[in-house]
Amino acid sequence: MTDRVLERELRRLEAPDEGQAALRAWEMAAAEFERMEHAPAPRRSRPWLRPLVAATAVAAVAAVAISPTGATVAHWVSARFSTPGVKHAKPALVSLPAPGRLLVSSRDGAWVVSSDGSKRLLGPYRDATWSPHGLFVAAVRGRSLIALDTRGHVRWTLPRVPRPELPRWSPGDGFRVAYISGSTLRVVGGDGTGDRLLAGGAAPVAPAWRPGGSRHVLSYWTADGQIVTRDADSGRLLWRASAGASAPLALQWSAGGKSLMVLGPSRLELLDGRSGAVLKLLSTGTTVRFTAAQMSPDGRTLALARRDSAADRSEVFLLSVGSRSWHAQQALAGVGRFGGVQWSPNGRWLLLTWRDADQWLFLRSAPARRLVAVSNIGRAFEPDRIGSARFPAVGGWCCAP
Amino acid sequence: MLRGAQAGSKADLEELFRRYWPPAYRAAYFVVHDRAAAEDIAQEAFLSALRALDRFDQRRPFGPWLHRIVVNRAIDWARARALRRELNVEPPDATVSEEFEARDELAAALATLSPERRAVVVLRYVLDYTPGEIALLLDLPRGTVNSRLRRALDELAGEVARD
Repeated sequence: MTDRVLERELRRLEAPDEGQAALRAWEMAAAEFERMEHAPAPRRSRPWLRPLVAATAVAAVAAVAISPTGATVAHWVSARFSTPGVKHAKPALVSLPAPGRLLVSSRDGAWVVSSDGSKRLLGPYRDATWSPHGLFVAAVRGRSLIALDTRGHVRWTLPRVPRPELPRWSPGDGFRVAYISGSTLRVVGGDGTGDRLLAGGAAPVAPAWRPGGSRHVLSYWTADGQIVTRDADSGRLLWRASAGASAPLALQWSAGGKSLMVLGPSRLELLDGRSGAVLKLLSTGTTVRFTAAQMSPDGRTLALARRDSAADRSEVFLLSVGSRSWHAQQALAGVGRFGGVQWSPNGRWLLLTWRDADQWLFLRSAPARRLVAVSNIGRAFEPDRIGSARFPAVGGWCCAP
Repeated sequence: MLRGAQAGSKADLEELFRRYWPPAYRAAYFVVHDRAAAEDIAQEAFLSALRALDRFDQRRPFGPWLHRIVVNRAIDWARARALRRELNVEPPDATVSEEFEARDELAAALATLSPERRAVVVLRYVLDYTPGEIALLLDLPRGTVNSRLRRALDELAGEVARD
């Protein structure tokens, strides 16, 4: 790295939590200032100014009355660090910034959002997930696993007790769908045939298919706290690794299947795809929790959201997957809770769902940084419900043209 | 602004705070690499400056005065922590080891420098003081500032390349 690049990067360094620290420091400073006795300002006798001074004094008193102590600092901090939502956001989603379609789950069911912003309610399904090329959706309704096309027509139905949940379609050929049923992990053919038990002792965490290769390889979390990877066709155990005490929020293989991301509330791990050994680990503090993560389609970058509950603040970072260290860069920060992070199929845009702001933020980092914000997301996916809308979850952004 | 604050104007105090506190916090953070300590240092320095406000010479600039206090306190804090670690009298600082930000490549590389070198880097590139101004702030010969900057940049480049 040249001096010039180094100096430029040093000038860009940002300290964490500056906004919250500033608010606390200002409270202390303002309280101290109130206690102090102040020397009167130097006075000069200018009789011709007195009428103007009197008028100004009235204005000043009025200004104080509508501007409580610290309001300016609070406003400044708010504007700089704490704005709950992006100002000047679009009032409705009129288009997606990148090709592909979104799968969204609300209380009304599963929706498909096209790139022109139009929405179609598939029906009252939950746990909806894309097939690898976005031609079909696997979802759950009642006690059945269902495959349907993007117009909502049901292609096959698989009743199952205990009820199925968290289906995941195998990448590439789409010949397998894995799902959890009670404490078992099961696999069914992409055409709805050949349903069978793959393993018992599975925990309710969405399984993750390894992309690439000719075999159908699946990783899942067990009730006794292990990550297990098996050949889904033969059932052969490929590797098993102990993981953290708490169940992961997400499992995801990198493109090419070199590594497996395991996201827990306080740990993010990258495991070696061949052995399950820990390649990289990131842990967090007591009041901070990881809330969502997803690797980009090319497998190079990992978007990670975390929440500091003490500061009521959330942040999204972009991390390097391939290098030895994480090379973390903050992408966004805001007050309250974020939802999930979702890469566009072409990997150029990141969708961040901001639950407390009722907004979706589309962020592009290259070739030039750009942010597109859309408001009123909850109502858009629950248009006919009376009362406040609930913020929906994004199930996937599919697929690369 | 300074005169107004001395006379009791809260609006002027707010303006002073808005202008000078954030860089003070950033400077403290990148010298000590500890969020809580940086906040304490910047806050205490600002309060000290506030209490000395009526004795402050208005012809002098407020910012360098505040930043000098902050950076010197941050150096002291970082030295003290380094000493405690050498003596191994306290467990590893969990906050620091868990700090996500410390994993950021350049910030982490900066943390490997000595507190004195960190301070000149922070004053030069985070607060944008010239080497001459840094020499005055830290009571150092200008040549020492330049040599510390040079060595700091070389060390940083080496750390980043190693990573």
